[in-house]
Amino acid sequence: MKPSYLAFLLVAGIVVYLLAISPNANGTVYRVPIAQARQDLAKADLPPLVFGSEPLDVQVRDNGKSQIVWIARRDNEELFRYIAELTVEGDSATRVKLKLEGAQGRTVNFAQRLAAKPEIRDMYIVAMEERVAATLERRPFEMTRVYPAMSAAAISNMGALQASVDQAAAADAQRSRNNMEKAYRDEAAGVTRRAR
Amino acid sequence: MLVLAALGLAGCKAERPPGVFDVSLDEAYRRLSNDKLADMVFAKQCGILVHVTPVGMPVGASAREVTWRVRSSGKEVVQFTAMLSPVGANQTKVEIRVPAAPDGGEMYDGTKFYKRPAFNQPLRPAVQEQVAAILEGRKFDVQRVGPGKDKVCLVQRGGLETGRVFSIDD
Repeated sequence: MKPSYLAFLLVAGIVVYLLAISPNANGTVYRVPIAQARQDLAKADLPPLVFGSEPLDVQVRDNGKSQIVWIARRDNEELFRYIAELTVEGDSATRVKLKLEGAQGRTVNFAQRLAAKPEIRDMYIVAMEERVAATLERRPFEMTRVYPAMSAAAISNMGALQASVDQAAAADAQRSRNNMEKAYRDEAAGVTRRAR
Repeated sequence: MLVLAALGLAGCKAERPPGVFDVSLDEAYRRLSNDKLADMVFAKQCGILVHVTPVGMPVGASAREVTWRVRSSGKEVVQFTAMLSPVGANQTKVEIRVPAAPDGGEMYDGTKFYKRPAFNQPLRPAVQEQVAAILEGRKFDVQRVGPGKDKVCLVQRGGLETGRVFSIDD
């Protein structure tokens, strides 16, 4: 292969990668009437895997006009919300433009976190864009479309990820230890809790 | 050059033979006969609750032994012994003994099947590491022991860690 072809392929690959890790600022047009799009998106859930293992409470609000809002909470505290702006495009198409707003909660300032980690914010948006696309194109969610953004977020957040993994492992080990110590205390107290 | 070589040699500590520790016999005996091996038990126990009791006794004129009897639900499930003999005034040689198994080899040698195992196998490296940790005054290091091979143990331990306890009578 000629060096010029190789350089072209490399540049093309980088462009594709950069596009894949960045949210679509202009939104995406889907061949779905706006009423149908609103109805379908109001039933859509958050994307899988990207928010970790702790479950989030999600409330979806449809203002009846041009916005669908997904509000994510943990322990009754809002963390963030996705806002999908829907606009009519021609006779039977809808443009969906998605944005993510972090909340300044009682215990977690998610807005600040997102501002400090733009790669993670972008990954969250790319993941939700895929959820919107999968919903309106009536196809399964494709995690592979989120992987480039996930890898960019992972690289930018390597230190924190390691700390988080260590923290989770330590918490798990402590939980195991607590259960084992409780089993011995129960035995000493004459309480039996048998495996089935 | 000779001075440097002498200084270099002075900095080197003679390597201890395997199983020999830099503590006197009395001190080794005192430490081991008062230790219930809690770290090893935590690291290697399976799903049944085990209680370890050290029993020390003199052997002949100068040697000692410490036997740890392991019981579960009131029944002895295994025991192992550290034989202690003096190596000069300030060192002690320790030999670990694990009882023979009825079908050959020794109990918990990594090849045995127990319906309700007390420890992950092989047990001997874990005992050696625990004894060494006690006599060297450091924490038990599970990394030095190597992974266990007993799948039944792993399953039962998973139960214990999540709050479901097995008994030898189950």
